[in-house]
Parts: sequence; C-alpha cells; structure tokens
Amino acid sequence: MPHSSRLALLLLAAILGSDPALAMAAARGVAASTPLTQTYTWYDGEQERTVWINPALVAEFNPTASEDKNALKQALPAARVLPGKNTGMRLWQLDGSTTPTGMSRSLNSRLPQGKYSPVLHDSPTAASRMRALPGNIIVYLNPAWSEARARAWLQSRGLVVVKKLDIGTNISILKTDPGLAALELANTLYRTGEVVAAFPDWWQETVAR
Amino acid sequence: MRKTSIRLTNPWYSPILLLLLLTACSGGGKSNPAPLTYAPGLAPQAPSAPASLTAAQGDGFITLTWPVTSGAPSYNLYWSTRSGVTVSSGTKISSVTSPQIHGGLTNGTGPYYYIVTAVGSAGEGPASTQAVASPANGATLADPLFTNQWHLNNTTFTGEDIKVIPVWNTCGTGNTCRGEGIRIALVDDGLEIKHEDLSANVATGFSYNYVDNTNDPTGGEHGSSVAGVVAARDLNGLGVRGVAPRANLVAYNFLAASTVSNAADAEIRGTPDVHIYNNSWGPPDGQGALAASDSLWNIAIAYGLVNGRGGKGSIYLWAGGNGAAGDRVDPASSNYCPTCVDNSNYDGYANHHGVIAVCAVGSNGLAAYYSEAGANLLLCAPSSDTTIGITTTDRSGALGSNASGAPDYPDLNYTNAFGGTSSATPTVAGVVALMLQANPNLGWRDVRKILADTARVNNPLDSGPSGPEWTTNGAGYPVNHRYGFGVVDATAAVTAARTWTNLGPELSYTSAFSTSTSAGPSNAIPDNNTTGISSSINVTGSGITKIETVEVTFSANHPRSGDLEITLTSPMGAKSILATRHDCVGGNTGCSAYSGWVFSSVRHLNETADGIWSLTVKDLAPPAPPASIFTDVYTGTFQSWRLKIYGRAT
Repeated sequence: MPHSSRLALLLLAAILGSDPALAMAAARGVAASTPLTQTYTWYDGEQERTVWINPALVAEFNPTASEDKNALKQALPAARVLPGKNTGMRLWQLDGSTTPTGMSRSLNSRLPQGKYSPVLHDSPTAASRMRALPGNIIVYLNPAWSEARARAWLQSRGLVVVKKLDIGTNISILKTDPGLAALELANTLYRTGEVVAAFPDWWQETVAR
Repeated sequence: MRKTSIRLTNPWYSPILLLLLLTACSGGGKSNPAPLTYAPGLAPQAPSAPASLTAAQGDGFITLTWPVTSGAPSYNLYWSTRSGVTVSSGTKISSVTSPQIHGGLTNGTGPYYYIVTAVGSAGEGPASTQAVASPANGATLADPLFTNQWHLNNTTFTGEDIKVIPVWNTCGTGNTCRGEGIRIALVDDGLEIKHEDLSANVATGFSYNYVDNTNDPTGGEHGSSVAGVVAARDLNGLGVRGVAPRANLVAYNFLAASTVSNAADAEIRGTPDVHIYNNSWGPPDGQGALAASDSLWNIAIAYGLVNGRGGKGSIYLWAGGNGAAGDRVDPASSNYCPTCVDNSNYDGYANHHGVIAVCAVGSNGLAAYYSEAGANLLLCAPSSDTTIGITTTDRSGALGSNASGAPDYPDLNYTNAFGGTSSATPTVAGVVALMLQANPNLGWRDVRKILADTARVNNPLDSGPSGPEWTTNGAGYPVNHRYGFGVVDATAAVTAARTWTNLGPELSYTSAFSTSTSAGPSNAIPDNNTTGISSSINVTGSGITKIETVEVTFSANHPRSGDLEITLTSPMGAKSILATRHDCVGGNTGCSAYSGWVFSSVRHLNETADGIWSLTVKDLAPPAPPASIFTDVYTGTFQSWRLKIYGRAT
C-alpha cells in the first residue's frame, strides 16, 4: 500500500476513535471479521473462481460529477465516498437501506453514462482483494476459427466487439453493461461450451509497492 | 512505496567532494604498484599498463588520476571525443604525471574519453582501461542530490550499493554507457512527464493515459519517483541521477484504471520499441492471501517474451512484494495482522517464470523488513529500510510525497523517502538497460541468467531457525530465499553482458499430475505435524541439463492454505520452500485453498532436470491461543501436483 494510503487509514482510524470495526468498515464497507456470504462464480478459462459480494460498497467508474451532484448521492443521501487514490474509480459506502446490486442496476439503467458496480472480493472477507465490473467482457474464441467465422459467431449472438486484441488469435473485448450484467453474460457464454473463455474485464485492486 | 521517518542530512555536495568521491570510488589514489616488468638477466621490458584511470569532471577541465606503475618515470595521456580511444586515434599529451588536468574545455561538451600509458626506459607500455568525463560547472551541472543517493554509492556501508559508477566511467565500444537508446516503460500510476529532472529522458507522445486515453499520463506520485530511480537525467545541475540516466522513459498509468484488459495492454504497449517494462505494483501486500494473475495477463507476457525487442523478448521487472511483515500499519484496524506474512510466491504476477522478481535490502545490505521471501526471487537491490530511504524525484512542488519540505528535502521536487520493492525494481531495470546497451543481442533468458550469475552474495552469514539461509544448489549456485542469488552488481552484469554468448533454445518439460502420497489412499495431511506427507515425480528424458525455472502446480482441499508449509526437493537435493505457515487477513476465512495454484522457483538454476523430485506438505498450524481470531480447526487432504521445468540442453 502506498504510504499516503496508509497514512489516510491511520488518520481515518484516529477520526473514528480508533474503533477497529469502524475503521475497517470505513476502508472496506464492512469489518474484515464479518464473513461475506453471497457468492458468484466466474471462469478464467477452465479455472473456476469464486468471489464474494461486499454488502456495503458500490464502485463508480470514470466519475465525473462531484460527490454531491452524483446520482448515487442524490438517490441515497447517506452514501459517502471512501478515501482512495484511484483516479479512474471511486468507492461509495451505502447505508444498509439498499443493496449494492440493486443500487448499481438502478443507476446503470437510468443513466446512459452510468458505470456502477457492486464490489466483490477474492475471499469471504472484506479485507481481501477487491474487484468490480466496469463493463465489457473478454472472450477467447476457438483460435482455429477463421476471422470470418469468429465475426459471424459474434454477430449471430448480437455481440459487439469493442476491440480485437493482437496478443492472441480470436481474443476480443465485447461490449456489455457495467455491473453484474457483465458477469452474467460472460458466464452464459462460457457455459454454452462454444467459447474457450469468457470473463469480465474486471477492475482489480492493485497497489503500488 | 515506503516512507521512512528518518530525516537525511542536508545535501553535503560540493564540486570538491564530488571530485573526491568519484576518485575514491574508482580506485583512484590507491597505490598498488604493478609487478616489476623485467626479471634479472632479461632485457628490460616496457612497463605494464596503469592499473586504473579515473576521469573527474571539473569546471572547464577534467582531472585524470592513475596509480603509479613501477619502472615508469612518465606517462602519455591520449584523449578523444569518441569512445574506444587508442594510442593511434587519440590526441596525445606526452610526459604527464598523475594527477593531470586536461584544461581549456567548454562545459557541457564531450564526453571526453581517455587512456594512459606508462613510459619506461624500454619504451611505452600498453594502455590503461578507458575513462570518461565531461567538463561541467559543479555548481550548476552536477546532480546536487547525487551524494545522497547511497544506493549508487554507499559511503556509510561501503560496498552495499549497486556498483554502477564504474560502468558510467568505463564505456565499452558502443560510445555510450548510460542507457542511451534503451526505452523503459513504467507501468505504474502515472508520470510527471514535464518534471525538471525527467523530461529530457521522456519520449514525448509515446506514453499512455488509461483514464482519458491521451498520451499524457501526468500524475502519479509513485510513478514519478520510480522514474527518477531508473532514469533521472544526469549532469544537468538538477536533483538526482538514475541508474541509466540517459535511458528513454515512457509511462502507462495502468494503476489509475486497473482492469484486466489494461493490465495486459500495458505489458505489450510499445512493443517492440520498448525494451524493459518496470512493474512496481501488485496485488495488496500484507494479506497472506493467494492473489492469482489472470489468463489474459499471462497471454500478454507470453506475447512480449516472444515478440518483444524483435524476437529477443521484452524484459519484465516485477516488485517482489512488501508484505514480509504482514500488515502492521494500524493496530486499531481489524486489518492489522502481523502474522499475515506474504511470500512472493503467493503473488501470481511476481512468480511468473517470465518476469524478474526483485527483493529489497537496506543500506546495510540486510533484508529490508518488508521484503518478501520467495523461491521465485531472482535478486535484490538496495532500497529503504527503517533508517534511510531512497533519494529520487517527486511530483513537482507540493503535489507529491514531499509536500512541505521537512523532514524531507527543501526542494519539493525531490524526496528522500521513497523505497520498498517499488524502488528496488527500477534499480534493477536501470542495470538491465545498461546491459542491453552493452549487448543488444541478449535474449530475455540471457538477461535473467546474467543477473543471477553476477549477483553479489550479501549478508553471507544470514541464518534462520533451520540454520544458514544461504545454501548451495546442485549446480553450485549460492541462493537464499530472502535474497535470491544476491544483490544486483551493475559492473559485473554489464561486463558479463559485453562478452556473453546467448543461451541455447529453451526447452520445457511438463509432468503428469501426481496424486499419490506417503499418506496412502487417504492423502490426509496430518494436522499440526512436522513430518507431513510427501509425493514424488520421476522426471525422465526431459533433455534439460540446465534448469532455468521450475513451476509446481498444486491443489489441496485443505480450506486454509496458510496452515501449510510446502517444500520442493530436486533430484540434486536442493530445496525450494514454496509456502510457509502463516495467517491471512479476515481470520480463518482469508486463506483460500490451493486450487491449481502455480508456484515457481529459480533456486534450481543449472541443475539437471531428470531424476526424482519430491514435494513435502506439512500442516503446521498450532492450536491457537484463546484470544486469537485464528483457530486451528481445519484439516485437509493432498490432491495433486505437477512439475513444469524450463531450461536448456547445454
């Protein structure tokens, strides 16, 4: 963790009276010791992975409006932005009156430019690595397929290619809505057995070392 | 990035001190007379070459010094503005003695290259090695904070630096030796491309901003400090000096938009023009948890290794991780967990066989308290410790880490508090730049091998609970789980690179999965037991007699991976500790099970692959104290493991 983030955490703990649960809740929505229960599965090719949803956080990608003018804040005045340095994303803590899934779906459906997602974790604790769904999925089609066949397959399913990646054969980024819609589409495609891999273009928590 | 709380002394630079420093570190002033050049009864011979030659910049002049050569009453000095000066090509200054001032020069011109010969009664002897310097006004053109860059020249703990100054002072045949022509991509949180001490080295228009899709990644307090470590401009009268101070920088601010696709893109963007990708980032540290890389990132790295640098392979440097002490930042936080000790092998990025994982040592040459151990670590570089940080560039003015001066430098464009494996990694990246400049034909595997071959064994008496930590593998390489093959040595690495013969083609061998263990059909891992269970794989016909990297894919249905210590033993008896007993943040649920987890080890370098390999798995979790959030109620069974060995035939 960069030193300034650590300092921010320390300051936050001091402000909150050094209550561990409050400090952690402030940093991650819920206390690390509170087991997360709701799970989702995703598939990195043949590797099945489980993620746990954070019941108190929503990620907003490419935030433009100030905190006060943000649609989430207007829908839920008690929500607040958690401290962080990631310029391309900010985390909102909800107040328990609504779920991250419901809030994200609602905002994304109402706002054409909305990019809201629940926050998920790699382990059943809010202390573990976070990930979220800014939209779009990555699909590996059979590398033996011709480009025309791959294009036809995608078109037949109404899938829109955002970008074809040059690092492999028939690897593309496909357009999806943000939030769980991306995960659901990726899983649907993978479970057809017609693709080599399909998984969300996750935002993943990373730190400068 | 790690902040230290220690205030460094004010810069104590001056032209005179700099001159003394350069002279001292290059061996100038050491009078080791060469052996007599003639023997009784034989005709006199010309004197031998002066043992060394040092060139130090002055204001309108350059000072040349060399040790006395026996039997040489005088010397001839030759100079040129082209590297590779000889007695034939250089301009001769006859009958000089050390120290010799080469005056009348214009500041900012050059560099000037020199050799010196000893002249005796039997004539002129062979030339010294070449030295180089440029005239400069020390008050305006030197790098004022250079003398605080202890990782480049450690005068407190002599020798505990990267030995790069001799590389700068003795260019090879390529005319240049400070990274010219080598492009380094910083995959980080951004870069202040107009920073006064970086802008001259930034390749304008080739960086990328993943947030606004422009070529300006300005921002990034961390990336702007990483940049200074690897390639802050030298001899410009400003701030600091990078390891490769004339290398070319681009930056991709992936950390500002850290998606799967951006992670992959950042590792191949600019290929093949980018030579080196510096990655001072990773999953969160101090969690004890497994953090896998995704398949797209793996595909990108594979692409870069094959297609980078015209097929010679991009060089990927990776921070080994700062989680050796667990998370101790805030005792009031429930995230606080000193026993959540990371190992670099729990990081699916740093343990990829195609990246060079870098650990950190402090100014005293001992392991930095935060630097993770790991069988995947290739080597270390100096970085921050509890007493002193790394001096480098910072965001300009109050935008960066140094926002107000004290206890940092008064010049807010620089900081003395950078560190972590984030700083160790670009230090090695700079050395790699110098290596690639010395020998552009090196493949990515050659770079790894040279770094391992030439690393300096530090802290030789390092010992742990099981005895000495330095062990010798089956091929004779000293290796250490905390230090890899030791600390990077720029002089040795560049010297080796110059005459290196590239390795033969890469071979790989993949075994079948083994599911049988010493525990019998149950495969049960005995709880709280120091013997554990073991499983073996017999490798035959691999064709690999020189191992480069070994990968172990491991699965166990033990629900808490942190309970397990896992050790790989090679046919030649060398051991790689792949995982140790530890906790994970979040209590019992934080350590997810090993499910096809891939470990790697570089510790079997140059061993032969064929023979019986064994994997020992022990559940060492003791009964937890009553107040602990961790309880040892978990047991499990071994499921499978597989070996993949990379190497070559000869």
